[in-house]
Amino acid sequence: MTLEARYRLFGLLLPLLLIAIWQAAAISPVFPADTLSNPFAILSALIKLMIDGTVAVATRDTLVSGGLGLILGAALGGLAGLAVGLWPSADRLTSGMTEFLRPVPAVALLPLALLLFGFGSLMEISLVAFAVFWPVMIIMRGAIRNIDPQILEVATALEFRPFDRLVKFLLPSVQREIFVALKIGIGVAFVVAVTVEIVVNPRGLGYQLVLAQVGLKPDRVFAFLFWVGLIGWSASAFLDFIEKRLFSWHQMER
Amino acid sequence: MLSAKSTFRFIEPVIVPAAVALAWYVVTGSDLVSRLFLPAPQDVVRSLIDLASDGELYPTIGATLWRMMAGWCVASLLGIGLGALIGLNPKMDSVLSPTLEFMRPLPASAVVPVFVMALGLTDRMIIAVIAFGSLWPVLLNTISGMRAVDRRLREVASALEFGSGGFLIKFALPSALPDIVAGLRLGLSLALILCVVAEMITLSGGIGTQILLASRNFRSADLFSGVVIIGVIGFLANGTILLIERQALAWRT
Repeated sequence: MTLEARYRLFGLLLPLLLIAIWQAAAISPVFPADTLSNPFAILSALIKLMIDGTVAVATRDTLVSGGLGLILGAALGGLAGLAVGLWPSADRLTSGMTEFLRPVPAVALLPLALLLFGFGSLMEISLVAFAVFWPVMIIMRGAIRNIDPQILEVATALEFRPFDRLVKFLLPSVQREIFVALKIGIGVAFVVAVTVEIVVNPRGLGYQLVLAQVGLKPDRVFAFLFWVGLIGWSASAFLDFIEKRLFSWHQMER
Repeated sequence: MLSAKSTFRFIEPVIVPAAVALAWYVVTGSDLVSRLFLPAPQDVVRSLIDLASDGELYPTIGATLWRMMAGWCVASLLGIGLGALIGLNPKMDSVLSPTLEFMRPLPASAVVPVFVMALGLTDRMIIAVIAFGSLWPVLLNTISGMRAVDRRLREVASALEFGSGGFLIKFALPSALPDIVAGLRLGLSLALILCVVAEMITLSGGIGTQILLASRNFRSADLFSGVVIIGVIGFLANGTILLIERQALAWRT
């Protein structure tokens, strides 16, 4: 085994080592077992919560609200980005408003959404949509602007109607950017959904986290935190995999 | 004299915001929407002036700024330090990266309950949450900046017999600076967001607490003025770093 491979192996084992130390510290009499729980307790809490359906219901609530907000925000953001990308005058007209609204963090609008919609999925959906809208719009705008003008000339020469021009030329040439925008949007949607639930909305994974914390059940807190991390991690791994599959030809071409 | 066209160019970006503001003014004046939900623009301005004049505003803003800056400073120091270690040293990269990749997908807001259990509803807790969340952009940018340090620079440094400390300060840091500063800027905007989130959760003062309480008590004008203040803080923080970036990196061009 080379030295390099040894370091890599140690790196992969380090998380397990830390978990083992955590477990040892928790059962040793030196540290009073209180706020930090221990890996075994956390795992058994997670299994228990999965069996009684708590995890499934909370995950469904979070993913449904986050997903609907994502669809809404990505659709509106995509259309807006398409519009300001195609018509520079529309871009100049709206740029003032965009520069003014874009930096406002979605969570700063959380109290406003609470005021308008009350508790429930509607406020969560609206905040997720707001947060997803901006990155999708910006990416689409840039993508449309960067389309090779020759492609558009071909479309014009072939006398395509506007709809065909859009579906057959514009969208196919920005499909990679659309995917990237969706990937970023999915990440944003999940984080915002969980955040909204942690702060106020009594539903979903975020609320379960708070509930466990208020109920002084550290094993449950860590169990849900681990679950949230697992969802985020597997979503991004899955999307990276799809991206490689779909767009590997892209790289060869460039 | 400006021609009609160039005048239009000049006012173009303001047309839509002005129209929106006008619509806002008209709608709130006409009782179409209850003021409970949508305050009139003049009420928001009045709320801002009231808050500023009775002195209540400054400790609130101060609390938020202090937490945000403290958390961001911790994140930046940690991020640059760890990033240099990992980016310049492939061994450390192999050892530490899997553990960091394990922690990175955790949304910073989701660690709040854990930090509350460990540290209670304190300023330290909020600062720790901010430090955890804004660490990542600084760390990742520092790593990629350090990795991109020209190999010839290393050779020059070793030929001149610089130690690793000298190489870091005289060669690697200046070379990676643009990436690091970009990470710092992202980190700062995250710090503000996380600070507001943590203040809304803990209700321990600051602007986040203020806007959440305003919403619960249906004081929509105070809510809007709070959102405006958050927007201004974000804008100023971002602008300051951009300015520093331009000044500090001017030598590169």
